[in-house]
Amino acid sequence: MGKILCATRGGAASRASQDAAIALAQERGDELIFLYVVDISFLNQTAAPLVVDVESRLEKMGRFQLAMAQERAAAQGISAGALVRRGQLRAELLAAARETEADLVLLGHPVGTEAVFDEAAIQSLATSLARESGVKVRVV
Amino acid sequence: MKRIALCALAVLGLVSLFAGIWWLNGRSGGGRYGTSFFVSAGIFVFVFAAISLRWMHETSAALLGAVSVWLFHYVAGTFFPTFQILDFEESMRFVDWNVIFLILGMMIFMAMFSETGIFNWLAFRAFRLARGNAWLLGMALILLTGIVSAFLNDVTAILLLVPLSIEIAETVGIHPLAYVIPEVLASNIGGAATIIGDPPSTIVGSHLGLSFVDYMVNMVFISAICLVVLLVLTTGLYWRAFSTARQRTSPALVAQLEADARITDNRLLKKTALVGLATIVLFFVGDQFGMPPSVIALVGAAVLITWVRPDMHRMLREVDWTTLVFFIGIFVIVGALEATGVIGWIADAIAHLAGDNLTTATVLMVWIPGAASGIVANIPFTVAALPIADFLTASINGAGNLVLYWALVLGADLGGNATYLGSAPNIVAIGLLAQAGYRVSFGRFMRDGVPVTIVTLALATLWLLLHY
Amino acid sequence: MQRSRFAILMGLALVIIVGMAWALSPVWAQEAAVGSEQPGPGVAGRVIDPLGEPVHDADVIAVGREGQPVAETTSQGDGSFLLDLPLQDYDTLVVEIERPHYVSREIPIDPAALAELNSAQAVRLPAIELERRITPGFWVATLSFVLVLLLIALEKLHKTTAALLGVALVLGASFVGGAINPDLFIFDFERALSYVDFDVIFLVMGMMIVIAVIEETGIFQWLAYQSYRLSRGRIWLLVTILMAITSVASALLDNVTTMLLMTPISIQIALTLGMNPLALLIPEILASNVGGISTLIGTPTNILIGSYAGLGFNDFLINLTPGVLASLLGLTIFIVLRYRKSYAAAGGQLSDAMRQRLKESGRITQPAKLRKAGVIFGFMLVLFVTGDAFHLVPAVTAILGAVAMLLWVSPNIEEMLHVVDWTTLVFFIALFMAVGALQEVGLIGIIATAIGNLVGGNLVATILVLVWSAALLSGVIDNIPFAATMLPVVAYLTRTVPGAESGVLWYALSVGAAMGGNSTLIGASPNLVTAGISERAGYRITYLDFLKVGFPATIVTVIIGTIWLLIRF
Repeated sequence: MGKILCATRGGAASRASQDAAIALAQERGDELIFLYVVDISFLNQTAAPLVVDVESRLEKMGRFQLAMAQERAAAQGISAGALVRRGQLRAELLAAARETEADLVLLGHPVGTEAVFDEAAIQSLATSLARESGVKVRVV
Repeated sequence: MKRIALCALAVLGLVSLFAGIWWLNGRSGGGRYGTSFFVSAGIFVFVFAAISLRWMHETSAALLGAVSVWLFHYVAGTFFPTFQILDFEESMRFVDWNVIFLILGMMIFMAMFSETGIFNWLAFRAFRLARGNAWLLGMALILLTGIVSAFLNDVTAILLLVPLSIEIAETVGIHPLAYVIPEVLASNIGGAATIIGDPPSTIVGSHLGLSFVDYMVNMVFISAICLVVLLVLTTGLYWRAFSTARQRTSPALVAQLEADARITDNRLLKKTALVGLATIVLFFVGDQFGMPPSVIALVGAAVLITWVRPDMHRMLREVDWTTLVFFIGIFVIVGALEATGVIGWIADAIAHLAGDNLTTATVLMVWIPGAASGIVANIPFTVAALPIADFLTASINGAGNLVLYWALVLGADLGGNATYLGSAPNIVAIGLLAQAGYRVSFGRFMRDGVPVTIVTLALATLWLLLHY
Repeated sequence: MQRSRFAILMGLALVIIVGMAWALSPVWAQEAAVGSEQPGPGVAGRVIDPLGEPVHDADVIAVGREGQPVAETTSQGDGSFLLDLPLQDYDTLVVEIERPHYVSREIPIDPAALAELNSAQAVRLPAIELERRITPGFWVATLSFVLVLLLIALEKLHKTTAALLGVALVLGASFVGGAINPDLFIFDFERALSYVDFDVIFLVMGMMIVIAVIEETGIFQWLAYQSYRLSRGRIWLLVTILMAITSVASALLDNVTTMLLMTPISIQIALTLGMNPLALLIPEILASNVGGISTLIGTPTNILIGSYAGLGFNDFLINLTPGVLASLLGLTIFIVLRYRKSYAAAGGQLSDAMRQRLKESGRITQPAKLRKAGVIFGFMLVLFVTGDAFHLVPAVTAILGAVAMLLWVSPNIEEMLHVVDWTTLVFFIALFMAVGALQEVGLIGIIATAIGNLVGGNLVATILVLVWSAALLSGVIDNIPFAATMLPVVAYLTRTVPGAESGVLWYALSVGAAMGGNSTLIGASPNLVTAGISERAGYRITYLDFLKVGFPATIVTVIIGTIWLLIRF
């Protein structure tokens, strides 16, 4: 029995990839872990006074998103794990893959107009991730 | 490549600016503008472009600009007197320390308030009260954001409320944009209501030496109207989304939502609320003693940190002090513009355009900043526009009731709603949405932003013309 | 790559700006505005206090017939005022001068002067002296300041919080109390701000950024390791070298930073040599406090004194460095004698594995960065030294260096701006305001007069009193607030004591305050910082431990310092 690590942000655009991950886990009988990465580098551009502990607030939001994904999995009879990490997406994905000893990392295809990454960015992320971690990476 | 193209564009822009000024100068008989005129104008344009096009962090752009002013003054100015702009002492006089200390005091308050979790708790109460009615919930959240951003800084309001709003939206099964974008618009509108609401309000209010009450009696009415209009527009724009929303999450998720929105520190909340309330009261009565808002905020903040005794290292990490440096830098750069006569030159041009007619001047003062702050950073713009407003107020009959300053505040604040680059809350909210997996394109934001901007600006113009 | 191209383009843009501006400048040389003064009747004069200091912002009102005010103005920064009078026949005129915390005066204009006024000519009055008055505001300001000092000394509140509280009290009393009783009014916000020395604020801010970048390169750890290699196991030599490094470093950098950088590696060296780390750390602290005196940027007290008195980088270098070197020599001899037993007991030789580990941690981590940072720092030093010629204030140089470091060496601006200790800057601002309040109500003047009477115009006595009182007091209270409080006092003494025009008293204050910081653990901030780190590593520096070495060392160094000052001036 293997482990599948599915990186997700939540939102309508990533529901399809969550579903695909759940289906895959069912089919292979693998353990499924959803991963959410909190990255607040988008705040670095503005000089507005940032006095809120944004990271921990966003971590809560991430947990909420993952709880939604877990419920979707539970509806299919899969009990999925959840993992929230802080930092830059690529580095944290790599570290999470090593830590959980996952043997398959799933990234979502961009769907619709609201996806945060475009197809090319996802593909390049997938190949570099596969090269550096030695884990299989699939875009679903 | 893109960056290089932008740089090339900026250089081209600078060159054409110089050419334009040269040409104008030649026509007007010349002799008025020295070398420092062009140097300071060039530095300002560069900083402005760097901030608006996001070449570098706003603070470093402002700091770089201020240092360039000094460098030219000291190094080049020693050898060629025409290079002199203004020295360190003089430039410090251009910094409006009231703004700096008002923001400093409010930052300390906000850091304490955000620790308590009170706003999330309020948002969750709204969720409970609405009982799954998506429209009612939306209205409540938008109003809450508007009011909170009137009394706290608008970016803080967004950072506090948007993550929870996204969770709430997903819980009631509505697209999060239906809540978050109107919330952002509301925060910009609410920011105009009080002197502490957002940076343009603070800068203008402090420049005029207004007290909290003076500012509020002038602006709170129009802000409230704009907020109501926003509610109506939101209902119209998102009617389909509101009516088709249905709850699809389990009680377990609602329970988690509740856990996220709990008040984290009751004792801190009590202390902060008490001091906050006292400070607000002091804001209202401080007028009697001639106390400027900056002193009130500073006194309130000092009392608060003496009482609460926060971990200073934590305060260091969470309070973003670079904001203050950013403001100081902008004031220095605009001070250089003023000292070298660039501002006077622009004011002349606008006065020429307005032709001594107060109505035209007011309309210009609303719509020029309104249109501009959709595209460029509105803080440097407001700082630079202030001396122009001074000039016009002095030269146009009947402008003594400060109508031009109100026009500037409304233009800069409401105009920031048009695009997502318009103001800091917009940018932050877009980032927060992307973290939740919702990308907002430029066009998508404008679809909501532009109509709201146009309607509110029109209302503001109407109100200014009728009322003053 | 992107960034460097970007930088080149930016440079290009600037060159174009300058080029165009330069090419066009002869065409549009700025015309000097020729102001013409309108002749007319007027009264000019100057307001001073009993110390001869100008009194600014005094209300000056000209009262004509039947108590009708004719004209009013306020005195300028240099105490001067000019009343423009309307053209009319004056048969009686009284000039009233009012200011909080002073006794109001009424000066009648004599008939001869009235005649001149009536023929539309200006009249100049002799200097007008206002007497001080002890008002309730005086007590508010004094008690607030004492409260701040107490809270800081007893560590009841963080120093920034305490200073902010003091300012809040003073401002609150001014505004709220001032509405009830005008005598409670101390100053408004504008005045309070005018006491803040922004030179210091920006100098400290700039240096914090610059140092943070340099620190990243690992140069200090490398130096410590090299010093170990040089000493070849002879511990007294090692201590001497470490003290020399510390004092040079703290002459160029802030003392706290120097100790922050030296402490970890010193503990490591001491442990590998099998000796008590305190035997290395305490001498280093002492050396850093003494070494810092030699330059303008070496200690916060020097930055304060330099900006206030308008002393340049070179002034400190010429007038203090030889004395500091002599003091350091004395200090080193004292330390080597004091610790000779524990140095002799230490092993001295280490295993290869240990040496390897020491070498590892003492490596320069980012040589490329170090080279760039070195270039900028060298450039900054040149500007510090030559800046006087351009009237370039040190603050601008520091900010310039900081921005250069941020753009060229360490592009992670966000992180770099976060290393600035903003609470310290806010502390400085609040402290300046609190001391300003004391100045406003006249306490500083009272102290200055008292010291002035005590020494009775004798320069040598003044130097002695200043150095030793500064040294003893700054052992008890933190030396930054102490120096800030003493600045106006020294300014007064410099003006009144014969022979003090050379500025010797400023250096006396600098020497006394900085060396006095060595006498106790709470005397200066580097002491506390080092104690903090060393405690975390398991070696507690107690108040007594420090006193036993620090106090005699202070006496030795202050004696040498005093002798130097007396010889030099």
